[in-house]
Amino acid sequence: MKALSAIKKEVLEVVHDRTMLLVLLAFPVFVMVFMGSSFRSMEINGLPIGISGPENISASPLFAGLNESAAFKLQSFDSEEDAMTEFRNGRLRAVIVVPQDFEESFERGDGSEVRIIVDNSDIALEQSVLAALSSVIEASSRDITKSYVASAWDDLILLNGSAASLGEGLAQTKEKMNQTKESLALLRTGMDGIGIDSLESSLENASDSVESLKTQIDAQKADLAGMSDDNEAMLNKTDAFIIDAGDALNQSQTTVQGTHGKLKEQVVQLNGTVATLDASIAGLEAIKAGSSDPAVIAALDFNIASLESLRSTSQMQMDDAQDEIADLESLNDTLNSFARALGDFSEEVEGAKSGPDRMAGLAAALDGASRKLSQIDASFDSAREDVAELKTLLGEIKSTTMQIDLTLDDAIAQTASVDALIGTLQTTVAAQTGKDPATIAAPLSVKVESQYEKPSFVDFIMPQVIAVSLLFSCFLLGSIGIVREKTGKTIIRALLAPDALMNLVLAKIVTLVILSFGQVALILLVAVLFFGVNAPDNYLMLLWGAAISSLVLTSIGIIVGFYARSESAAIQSCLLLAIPMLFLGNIIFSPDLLPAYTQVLQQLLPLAHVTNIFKIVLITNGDPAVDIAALLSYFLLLAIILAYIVFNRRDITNYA
Amino acid sequence: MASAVQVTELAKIIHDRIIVDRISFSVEEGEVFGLLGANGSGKTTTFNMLSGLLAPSSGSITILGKTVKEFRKSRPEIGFVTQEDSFYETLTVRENMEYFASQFGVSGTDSRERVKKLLSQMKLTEKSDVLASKLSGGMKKRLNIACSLVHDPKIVFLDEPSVGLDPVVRREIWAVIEELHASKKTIIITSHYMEEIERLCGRVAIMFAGRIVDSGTPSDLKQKYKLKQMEDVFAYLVRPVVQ
Repeated sequence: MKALSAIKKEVLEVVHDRTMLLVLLAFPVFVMVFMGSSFRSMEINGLPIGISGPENISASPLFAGLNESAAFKLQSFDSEEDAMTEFRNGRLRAVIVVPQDFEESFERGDGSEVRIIVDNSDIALEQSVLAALSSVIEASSRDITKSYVASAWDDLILLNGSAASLGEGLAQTKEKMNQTKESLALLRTGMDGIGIDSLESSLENASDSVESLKTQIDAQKADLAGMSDDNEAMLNKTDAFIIDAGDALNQSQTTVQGTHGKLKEQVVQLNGTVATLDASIAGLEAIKAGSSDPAVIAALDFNIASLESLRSTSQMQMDDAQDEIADLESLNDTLNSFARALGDFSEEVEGAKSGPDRMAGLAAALDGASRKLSQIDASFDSAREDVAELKTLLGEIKSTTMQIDLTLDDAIAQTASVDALIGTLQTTVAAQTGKDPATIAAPLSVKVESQYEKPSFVDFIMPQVIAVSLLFSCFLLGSIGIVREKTGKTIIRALLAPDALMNLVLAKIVTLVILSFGQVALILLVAVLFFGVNAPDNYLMLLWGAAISSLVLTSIGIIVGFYARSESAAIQSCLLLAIPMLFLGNIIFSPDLLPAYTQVLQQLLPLAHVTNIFKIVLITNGDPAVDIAALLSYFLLLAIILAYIVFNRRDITNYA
Repeated sequence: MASAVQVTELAKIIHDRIIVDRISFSVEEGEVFGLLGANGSGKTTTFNMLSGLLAPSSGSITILGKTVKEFRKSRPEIGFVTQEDSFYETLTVRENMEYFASQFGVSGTDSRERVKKLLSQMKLTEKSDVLASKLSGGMKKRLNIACSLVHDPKIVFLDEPSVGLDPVVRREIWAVIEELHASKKTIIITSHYMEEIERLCGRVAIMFAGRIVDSGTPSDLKQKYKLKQMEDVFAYLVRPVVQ
């Protein structure tokens, strides 16, 4: 029950506090209505854009296109300088500079480049302006093209456009196919360099050595019978054939290892070739999609099918090559085993030479070696089969690469016919219009220039930082200052003393204006020292901006203070006034990207002018006269309201 | 003796409700006059009209021979001591007094001398450089009176000067008012403390429901109604409320 009672009390407090009720109900409704209507469509509307160019620019399709676009409100200027002055003063969001020889360029068939100068201090606005302008310019470009080739040539324009696009794809595919051919040539050279014949003969040599060793061992074993231990000639003979067999083995091992390495390289190369083959196939598919000639399509279909089949064969061969690599590794192991056997035999012969019964020891060693060699000989048979398989595989790969090569040549020949088609189209267009086909495809090009160069993006947010700081400090200090005079009853003394109420109000305004100078200076100091922001060029104008801004904002705060009953009511009222200003004052959203009605509203709210003044002073180096005049008008209105309050609210019941 | 304040048929109607109903009285120069009444009897509204903080609905007020139309010019002659403290808590005692002196056109040497004298008179010299927020309740009351006297007014209005104070502080305030009376100031006090009225006021007017039901010296009133205490006189005159 206690908790329920406490909740009831809280609800009653809110219900009885009209300001709080307003904050609770009006604020969410405002935010929903504002955000909903603002973001229902993100298309820009009525954006002020300047255009400067030759005298007859207004007769051009570009001017007509921009003028007809709901996105822009076009203003024509005699010179680029005039347009830029308005741009820097914040009256234009972009300037389009059309070259003086605009029409003549098209007459000559040279095309023309249009410069767009954008306000890059507002990224969202910059992107939206560029997107909308590009769309209009593209459309104008098409109109200009049409005016050259006449309406009957619409299809030709499209054809010309697709020919240009097809030509681009064709060039890329050709490049890919040529890369594939180069890769195939490299692969073939690599396979030639593997030296499978050398491997074969090395293997035979090694096998012969084993055979020879076995024969000699058998002969020696027969000779050993009845020989005395001091028969040095026999022992030396054994040493000699061990050395011969070792040499043959070393040669075989080197060959096997070399072949193994080269084969691995070729597998990598084959992998790369398959990848470029994939790109070539994709390119041919794209050409086929962009082509309308049935013969070309059929030929390309055949080429694509052949290449895909060959690609699949290559993939299988690559897998086989991997197996062969494994076999070579096994052969290498066999040769290693032979080397170890030779080493063992050599040691045993050495042992027999120094043993007590030399001939008997030698005979035992020869027996052991003979058995080992028989095993090795058997493994050589299997190795010989592997090498034969490898030889066949290499032959197959080589054959496949040759087939791919031929298919690619065929595909390249087919693309040449597309090339010829494009050439014919372009020649036809050029002949009919008397213009360069490339110019007809895109007569207008655009060069975008960002107007402001600042060391960091922080420079671009300085106007907003200063405006928000002034908004809250002037609103809150102004309103709370007056509320405290009322709740502290000191306002009664001001009502009693002659002119004291007026002095009090003026003193508060002047003090807050002076404090705002300090606040702006402090913000700039921190920005310059810690964020590398550029120091302002025109301090006098900055001072003016801070003075008029704080005059207006403080006056609003003081008026709120006169009507608010408590500090919390003053704060809530300030928030109710500040939030729409934050939404519409170029702080959170660029007003140009919001609906048209909000653009009218923002002109009626002072914060947009405050932000504009600081933007002009700190970024554009323009003249903020219009915004200062707007704020002075505000101040005049607010001064009248304040005078009315001071002279008509002298009755104590207003402050009870 | 000339009238410092002359009130004739003064009335105030707010939202169709009669707050002050055609009252008339006069206060002589140097006199201490009390407006006695229960809460809601109209005495504070009368006070606000006398000090120019509230425009009358009808009737006339003459202060030091000047009419309501000329009233604004007479304001420096008036010192108004509000019921609640009305000074800046974030300023020192001296800064408060100097500021309010400046608002009444007292500056320079005059201001410094006046502040020094008042600090001494209100026994605040030692606290002159202390923030007002740091003062005790009694000191705050004295500072509140000092701020109202800093321009040396001829007439001083005190709206319930001792309400909510403990007996010790209340007596301190009474002593200050007696000093003011001794310095020939004309003083008008509103109160519902009978003891305060009897001690300080030469004459009183008892208000009830916006009207003055009787006026005179406390002793005359007690004699008239044959009652020993002013509290009894008051209770007798406002008896419909008591009943």
